[in-house]
Amino acid sequence: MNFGLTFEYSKEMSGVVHTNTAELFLVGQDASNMTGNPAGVCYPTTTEEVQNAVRWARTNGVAFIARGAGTGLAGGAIPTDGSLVISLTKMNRIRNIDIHRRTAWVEPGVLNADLSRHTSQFGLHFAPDPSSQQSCTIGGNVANNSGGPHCLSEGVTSAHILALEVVLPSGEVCVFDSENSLFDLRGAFIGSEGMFGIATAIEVRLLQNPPHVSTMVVGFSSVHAGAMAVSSIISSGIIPSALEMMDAPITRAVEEYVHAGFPLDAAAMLIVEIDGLEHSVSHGSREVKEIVMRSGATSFTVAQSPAERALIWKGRKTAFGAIARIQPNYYLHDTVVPRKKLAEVLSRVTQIADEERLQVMNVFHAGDGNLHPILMFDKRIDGVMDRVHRAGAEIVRVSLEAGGVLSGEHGIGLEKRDFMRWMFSENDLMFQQKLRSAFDPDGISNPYKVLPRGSGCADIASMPPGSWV
Amino acid sequence: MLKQTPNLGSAVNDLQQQMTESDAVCIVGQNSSGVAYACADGNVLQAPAGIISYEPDELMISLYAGSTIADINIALQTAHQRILIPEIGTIGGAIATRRNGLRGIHHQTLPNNVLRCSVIAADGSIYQSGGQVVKNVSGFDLVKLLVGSWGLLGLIVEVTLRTEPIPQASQWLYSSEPSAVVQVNNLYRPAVVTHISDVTYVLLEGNELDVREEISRLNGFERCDMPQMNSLTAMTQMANVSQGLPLSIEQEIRKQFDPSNKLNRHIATRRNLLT
Repeated sequence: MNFGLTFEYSKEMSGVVHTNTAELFLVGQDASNMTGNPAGVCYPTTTEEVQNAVRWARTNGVAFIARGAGTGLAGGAIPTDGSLVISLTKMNRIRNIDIHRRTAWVEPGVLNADLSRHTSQFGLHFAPDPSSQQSCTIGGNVANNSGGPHCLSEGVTSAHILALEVVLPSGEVCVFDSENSLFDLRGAFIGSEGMFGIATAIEVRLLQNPPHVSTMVVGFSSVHAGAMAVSSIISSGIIPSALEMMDAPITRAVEEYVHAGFPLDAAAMLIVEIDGLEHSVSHGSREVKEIVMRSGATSFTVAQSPAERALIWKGRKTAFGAIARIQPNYYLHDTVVPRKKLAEVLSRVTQIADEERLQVMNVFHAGDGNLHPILMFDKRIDGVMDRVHRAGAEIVRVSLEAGGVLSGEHGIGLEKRDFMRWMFSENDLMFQQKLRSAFDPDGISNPYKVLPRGSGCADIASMPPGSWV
Repeated sequence: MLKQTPNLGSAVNDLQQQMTESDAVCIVGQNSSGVAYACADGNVLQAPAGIISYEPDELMISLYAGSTIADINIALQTAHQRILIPEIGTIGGAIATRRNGLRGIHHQTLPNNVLRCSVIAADGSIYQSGGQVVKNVSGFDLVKLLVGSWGLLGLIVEVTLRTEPIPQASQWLYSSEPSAVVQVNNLYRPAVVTHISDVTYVLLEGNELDVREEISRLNGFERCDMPQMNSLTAMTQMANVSQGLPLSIEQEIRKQFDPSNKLNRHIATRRNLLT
C-alpha cells in the first residue's frame, strides 16, 4: 500500500510530511536488523501537531508509528509499509522541574542522559539508564518500559513515571495519572510499545544522587563461579544498585580501548555497585568482598575516584561498540531467567552458539537474571543469518524452559512477536488484545507488533520486509 | 499459618465453574475495604489460600490470592524477608484495591512488586500476565491493570510477589515543628515521609549506624510507632470517579473483559463502568 500521495492534499499535513527517499530510509530502520517502508515522516513540535498527524492518519486509514531515537533492538520502531512515522525528536524540551517534589515534566524526545545531566545541578537524576542512554529518548523508555544496570535496586521505567499526557489513536488528548482513573491506565500504557497511542509529555520521578558510592570489579576463573557469586550476593540480603557480568571475550574487547583496568585473565567479571549512606555502603562493600572471595574470586578492585568509576561504566555501557573490533555485525538478545539458573543457561548459550558456528559474548544485568547474549557474525557470509536466527530462537526457548521470560527490557516488537505463544496461552494473548482494543479499536497505532498473528488482532497494514519471525 | 499447597487445581476449577454458571459475581477477599457489604446480588467468590512456592534466594513468593498478608509475613520472616503491604486482609484484596499503605504512597509498592497474576475471567477462562522473574517486558502489562481493578477484570487467584530483606534498623519519628518538612526533605531517601494533621512523620530504614546518624541530625523529632491511618479508605486509595477520556477507556476495558457485566456490579455502578 502507498498512501504517500495523499499528504499534499491535506491542509494540516501539506509541507509537514517529508517523503524524500533518504529520510524515509532512515526512519524505516531502528537498531534491529529489520527495515520498513513508510510513506512519510513528520516532526511535530507540539502536542497539537501530534494530534493533527494522528487525526490525518486516522481519517485516511493510514497506520502511524511514533518514533524516538530509533535505538530499540526488537523492531518496535520499524514502520509497516505505507505508514506515517511521527518522529518526536523535536519535542525535546524539559517543560519544568519541581525540585521540592523531585519531579519533572518532559517531552518524549528528551534524551535519557540529557535529563540526568540537566538535573545534576539539583543533585537529582532519572534512574533508568539503558546502555543507549546517550542517544535514547524518554518517550522510547516509556514505550519499552526500559531498564538499565541501575534498575536492579530502583526498578524499571514504570517505577519512575508518575503521569503521562497521551494522544490517543482517536486523536484526542488525555492525561493518565494516579488520580483520574480507577484502573492504572498509566501503568498499562508504559511498555505498550507505541500501540496504545503517543505520549507527548511525561512526568518523571527524580531521585537524589547517592552521597556515597562503591564500585567494585571482581574477576572469576569461570562464568559458572561468577554466576554463583551473583546468587550468593542477592541471597545474602544485599541489593546492590547494579550487578553486571561481562565474560572474557567482551572484557578483552572493551579493555583494549577503554583501559579501565578490567581483569584480562578472568573468565568472567562482575561489576558490583553499592550506593547510599556511608555505613550501608561500607558495610555492604565489605560483605560483597567476603562473599565473592568465598565464591572463588581471582581479583577484586574498587574504584578509587569518580573518574575511575566513570571509566568502569564507560567500559560497560560502550561494550557493544567494542564488538566491531571482532566482527562487523552482531545480534543482541534479551531474555530473563531466574538468578539460580544463570550458570546453567549461560552454559547452554555457549553450546547453542558452538552448534551454529557463531561467536558469542555475554555482557548483562546479572543481578536481575537479565541475559544479553551477543551473537557476532559477518552478514556477507552466505546463510549466516539463518544460523543467527536459529541460535536466537533456541536461546529464547532455553530461557523459557528455565522458567524465564521473553524480554527483560528490549520489548517484543517484531523480533519476538511470534515467540509470544511460547510464553502465553491463546487466552492470555486474547486478553492482551482486549486491552489493546480498548485503547486502539482500529489497530492503527504501530500495528502488527507484540501480538502474534491470529490472536484476534485486527491491525491494518502489512508486515515489514526483513522481519524474520 | 499458611501451608505449602502447591496444587489447589481442583479448588480453582470449582471457582471457574461457578464463574461460568453465575449471572452475577461478587469477588471478595476478607472484605477489609468494606465495599462487599454493598454487594446485594451475586454469587460470592473467594480465592483459595496457601503458598505455591517460596524461594528466598530469588526474593520471590508465589501464593494463592486468598492468603492473608499477616500469614504471608509470618512465612517470609523465616528467611528474614517481608512485603511492604499493610497487614490487612488478603493479598488478592490488597492488589485489587491497590492497598499500598503508607509506604506505597511514595514508592508504588504494589504495582512494582506484583510480578505475575493468574486470573479467572468473567467467562470462566483463566488468563495470566507477568512472569516469575524480577524484570519482564513481555507483552502488554495486564498486571499493572489488575492492581486497583476492584474485581472488575476477574478474580485474581494466584500471584507472584517480589519480597525484600528486612532492613537492619527501622525507626518512625514525628515532629510538629515548622522546620520538620524541610528537614525530612533534606534526608537521603527516607523510607516514608507523610504528613497527618500538621504532623510530619518519617520512617528511616537501613544500616543501623546510618539510621542512628540520620536521627541525630534531626532537630525536634521524637521516636514513635507507625502512625495509624484514620480510615481504611485512605489506605486503599480508591481514586476519584473518573471522567472524560480516562473514563471512556475504562468503560471500554471493562466491556472487553466483562461483556455481560457480571463482575462486582456494585462497584461498576458506583464508578459509572456499567456498559
